[in-house]
Amino acid sequence: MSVVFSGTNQGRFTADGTFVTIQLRSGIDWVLIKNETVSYAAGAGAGAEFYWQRGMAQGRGTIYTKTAVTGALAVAQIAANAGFYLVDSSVNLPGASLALTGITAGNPPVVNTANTSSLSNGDIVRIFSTVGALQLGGLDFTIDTLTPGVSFALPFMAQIANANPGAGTFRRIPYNPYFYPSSRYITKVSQATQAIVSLSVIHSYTVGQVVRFIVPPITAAAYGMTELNGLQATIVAIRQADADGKFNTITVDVDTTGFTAFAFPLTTAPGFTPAQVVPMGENTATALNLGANILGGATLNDAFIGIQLTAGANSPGGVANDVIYYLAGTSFDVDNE
Amino acid sequence: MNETAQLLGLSLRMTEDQLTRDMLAATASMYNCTGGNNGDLPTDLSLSDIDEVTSALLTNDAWMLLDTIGGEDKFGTGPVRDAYLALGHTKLSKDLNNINGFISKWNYPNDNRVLRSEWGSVNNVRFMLSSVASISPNASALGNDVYNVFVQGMEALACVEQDNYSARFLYRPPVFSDPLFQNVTIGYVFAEVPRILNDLWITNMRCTLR
Repeated sequence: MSVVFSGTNQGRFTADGTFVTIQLRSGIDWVLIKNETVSYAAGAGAGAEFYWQRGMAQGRGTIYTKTAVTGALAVAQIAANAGFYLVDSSVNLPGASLALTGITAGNPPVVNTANTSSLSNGDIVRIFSTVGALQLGGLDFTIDTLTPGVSFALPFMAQIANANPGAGTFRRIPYNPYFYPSSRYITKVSQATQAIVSLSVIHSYTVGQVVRFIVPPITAAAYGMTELNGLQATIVAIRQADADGKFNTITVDVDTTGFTAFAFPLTTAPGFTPAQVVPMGENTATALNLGANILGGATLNDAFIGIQLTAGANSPGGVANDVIYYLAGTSFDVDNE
Repeated sequence: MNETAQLLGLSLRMTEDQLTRDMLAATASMYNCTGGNNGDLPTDLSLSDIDEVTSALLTNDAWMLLDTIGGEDKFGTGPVRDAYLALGHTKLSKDLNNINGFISKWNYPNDNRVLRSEWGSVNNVRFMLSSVASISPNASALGNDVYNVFVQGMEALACVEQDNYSARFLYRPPVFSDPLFQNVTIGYVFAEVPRILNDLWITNMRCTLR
């Protein structure tokens, strides 16, 4: 006989209608969810409690639904993909390969596809194997303006000269590199006394960080602004609007007014190394002047393990404004024969 | 107990390697190989790509990490240039074998100067291969896996030890577990941060397979 060792974590959050990820550094073997709002309010038909433990399928779990009249709880299995998912953010597996049917030459470019069910605005996608718009191949983009079953936009990408008229493929990239800060691809650079640099994926740089630009010459026209290549710069502002009114930008202390205009390669360009921003350190004086964290440029491992709670009335993540309590723990031994 | 300690030691060092690998994949500047002929972007590794990266590191004043191995009077061997260190995946071994000018480590004149994980050298780059090296899944223009080969000079990166220690091996005898002294625990903790010291002295040479 031995003493059973276990550790538990508990907490509370208010749902906002989207999935919730609880980070549990000590790991997780089971979790109990109590939706206080549903439990105490009048009405029936919504999940009041949820349970999951190792051995149950991903995306599933047990639901206790509040019934009418007595408020007794009725037990059932959570619907597929509506329950709990174990999360380890250091595991970087792209989503399934999905077909697209074209990429427009609009501003911003729009990707036409019927396969949008796994996407949300703000997701990252990786485009490849297109018949046109070859310069986008292998690059990652944050998306928005999602029209279910029809299309999504690449809001931070520069307008492309020639549309992709036909087939192609993309994958959802459900992760960022877990070491911060990470490098990013450049899509646009303004010609200004303090250049505004647009990036293809939402960044998390902070003011005061020092970055280096890689802007390789690809063709006679692209990337154009090769004067920027190799320069290091301090970020003096973030999220200022670029020429297209998009805010995924960094503003740097480099005067680009006399530089050649930045031009993204065309589909006919030979294979190339993308223009990129590489984090390299921190300008402490600037950070202090601008009231920023002087450790903002420090290398940080953001990886975590935990569990994701799907949102919904019959899911553990609840609906907006639900107050939800959780109790999670690890077991001394797990034996799922 | 000794066996367990050895396994934990292996686990510790592999974890360090993996953390350093992922830090480099996230933050190092990248170069897409274009000199290969597989039609993808990046292409497979080629001599011109290796020379291009070498030239860039030289221009950035990165010092070579490994010294010259001078020629000796032995059949089938040849001198090896001083070199930058490249860390890549074992799946690149076949492609390396086919690169013009590749010198396998068994052709080095002096066995004592060969590193255990080394595969060989191409001009001024010596390649170390590992099965846990960095791969970016489906990241090429044709959707193939991209292999990240980190070519680095001296002092390009470091592991910063936090709290004044690198790693601790922790053993709790059974007296702490229960009244019947049935269970011991053995583990390790380490507190360190991998960090690029100078981004000019390291390049992620991205390639696909031939």
